[in-house]
Amino acid sequence: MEIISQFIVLAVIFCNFFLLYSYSPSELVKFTAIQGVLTAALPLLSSSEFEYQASAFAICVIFLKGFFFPLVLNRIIKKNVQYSNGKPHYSGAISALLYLSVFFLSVWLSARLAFETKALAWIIPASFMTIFSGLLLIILRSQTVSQIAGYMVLENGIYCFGSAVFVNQPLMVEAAILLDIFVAVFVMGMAVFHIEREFDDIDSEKLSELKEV
Amino acid sequence: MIFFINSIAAYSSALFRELSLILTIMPAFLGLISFFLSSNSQRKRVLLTGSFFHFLITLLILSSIFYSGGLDGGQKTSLLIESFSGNAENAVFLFIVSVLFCGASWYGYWYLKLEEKTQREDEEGFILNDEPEAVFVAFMLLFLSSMTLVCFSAHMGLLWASIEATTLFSAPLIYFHRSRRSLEATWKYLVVCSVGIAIALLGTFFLSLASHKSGGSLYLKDLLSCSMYDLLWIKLSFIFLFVGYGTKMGLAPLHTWLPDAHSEAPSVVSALLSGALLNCAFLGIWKTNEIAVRAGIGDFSSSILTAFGMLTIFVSAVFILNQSEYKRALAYSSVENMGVMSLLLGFASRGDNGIYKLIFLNALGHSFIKSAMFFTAGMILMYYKTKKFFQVSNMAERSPFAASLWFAGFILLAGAPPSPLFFPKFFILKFSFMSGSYFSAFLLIFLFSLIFAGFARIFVSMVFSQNAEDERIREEKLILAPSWIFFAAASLLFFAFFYFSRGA
Repeated sequence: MEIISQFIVLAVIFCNFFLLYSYSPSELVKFTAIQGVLTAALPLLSSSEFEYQASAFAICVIFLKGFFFPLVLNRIIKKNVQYSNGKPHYSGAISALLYLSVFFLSVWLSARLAFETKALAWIIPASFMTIFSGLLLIILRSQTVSQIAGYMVLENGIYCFGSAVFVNQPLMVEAAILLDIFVAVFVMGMAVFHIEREFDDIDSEKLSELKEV
Repeated sequence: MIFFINSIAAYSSALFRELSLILTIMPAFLGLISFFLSSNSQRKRVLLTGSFFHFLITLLILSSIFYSGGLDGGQKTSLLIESFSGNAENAVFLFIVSVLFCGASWYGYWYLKLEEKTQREDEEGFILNDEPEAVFVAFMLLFLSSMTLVCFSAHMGLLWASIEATTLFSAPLIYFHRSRRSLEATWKYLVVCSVGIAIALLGTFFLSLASHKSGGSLYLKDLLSCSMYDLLWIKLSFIFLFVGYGTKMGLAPLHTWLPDAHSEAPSVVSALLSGALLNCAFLGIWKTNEIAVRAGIGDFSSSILTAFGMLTIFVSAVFILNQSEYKRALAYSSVENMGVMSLLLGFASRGDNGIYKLIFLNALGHSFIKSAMFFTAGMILMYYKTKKFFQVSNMAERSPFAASLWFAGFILLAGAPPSPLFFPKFFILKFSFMSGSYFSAFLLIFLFSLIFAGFARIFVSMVFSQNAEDERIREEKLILAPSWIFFAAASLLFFAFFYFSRGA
């Protein structure tokens, strides 16, 4: 099982590369979903014995991240042709540079912080990397759907970190956190739908009426 | 009479757990029901009744404080707190949430009736196409439920989930008018606060790492009794939780969503955001700081709280002075008060327990005054159809009822007696002088003066400036009843505090 988990951790790291590299929102949603399913599967594989509650919870997370969220976001993307016409703000070389910076920063940070857990190798750098990638997506991408994808990537990273350090929480709290994330994506999706209808645009930079004079 | 109160308090204390569950679930249940009701008048009645019962049960629960032999947190760890003994901050913030929501539902009831009658335009001249009342009433009640859960959370994970829920349930309320500006404000609010709160979740996990030698439990009871903290992780955890909840609380430089959301939301929602929601986020910081102090990093947390408090007051002063919209000025005043509360909490972390009552006084006073001001601002917006203060003139003659409230609010908001906000500011200056921080003290005096000047410029112009075309406006008085009550309550707080702290 451990070797599969190691492969999953590596896949999570590679997903970050594709997330930072690809500009197309539909590809972003695809890689976010893949990463979400991979991070949700990690606690299942790392557990030595089968637990019904944990398995049911992981299946719910996989359903939400792998099926429901991409469904909502892809419907928004399909409704607006502007998503396929967008041009990247920066070149592939800059994306690669960003990826490398995030990678080295995460490895350095993980080495600096003393972890006394029996976590998988590379899972802590992978989770930090995912968190940083999510933040970069929110900051650097102006398309509204890409920002939602950034939020989901950030959340994938936090989830990955939580499972890496074995933060045990009551099921009620886990469910409340998951419910919050579900509602967050849903409400953001609704907001994007209204933004497209009202502004006839998908770019959050157009939302610039409210500022201090 | 005393026997009667004692009996009620005893019963409430024994039923604390059940009552707190009812208080949390009831508004959410009513909110979901209101989606399926057939008429808007029924929905409005549900809103009013729900808020009234919430207030009644809150009073019952608060009465348990008077019961001398009250439970002391229970023996086993629970997701919800089991008594207010040792949790005075939860009691105060629950009281604020409940009272404000009562006033807001009264205002909302009449506000929705007036909105039905009139067709309004936004700043760009588009006719406002309000959200259905079903959405408004349902989300108001869900918002109340999530804020109540914040006040009862006894687990850092649940506290996080409930604070995030307040963001999600209040976002559709900000977009009530469906204008471009409100949509922009909603989007910024959602993105900035959700990312901030996500950072707080990471901080919560760090907290578990910090206490892993004692089991890594996130129950507040366990965290506050933990004796072995990892210093690096507890510091990191404090920083992440502070940034996360500080974003929600509106501390500079993380406050960017706040002026937009407060100014574009309907005034009833602005009142709740400012008076109740910010306090809920502050409760998150309070609990984080409490853990930090127990872990022995009180000086570290104190320096962060005071630095950000000062920065927040500075930013609010700059923006109030240069403000052209009166609702935005009120929003920046909320930013200022959050700065004051952060500063006070920073002082309290150094060991002076007497400061906590000043924090309560500031929270209560600010919530009462600010929500009353937002209610009045809503009516001014309805009468004059503009948010620009220089386009509103001669309120004293055109709308004397609103003008009297507006000016009284200005005096109270500026912190002049009989405002309860006077004492916290006075104490901050006194503490700064006594501790030898003369530069901070003079800087604060300068910043408070700037804020006063900024407010005076806006309020005096709106109430007294003359215009040739001034006409008398037909005023709605009943809707503003909560404003008068809240102002009276705030003034009463001033005298009560003065009376009880004479000997101190």
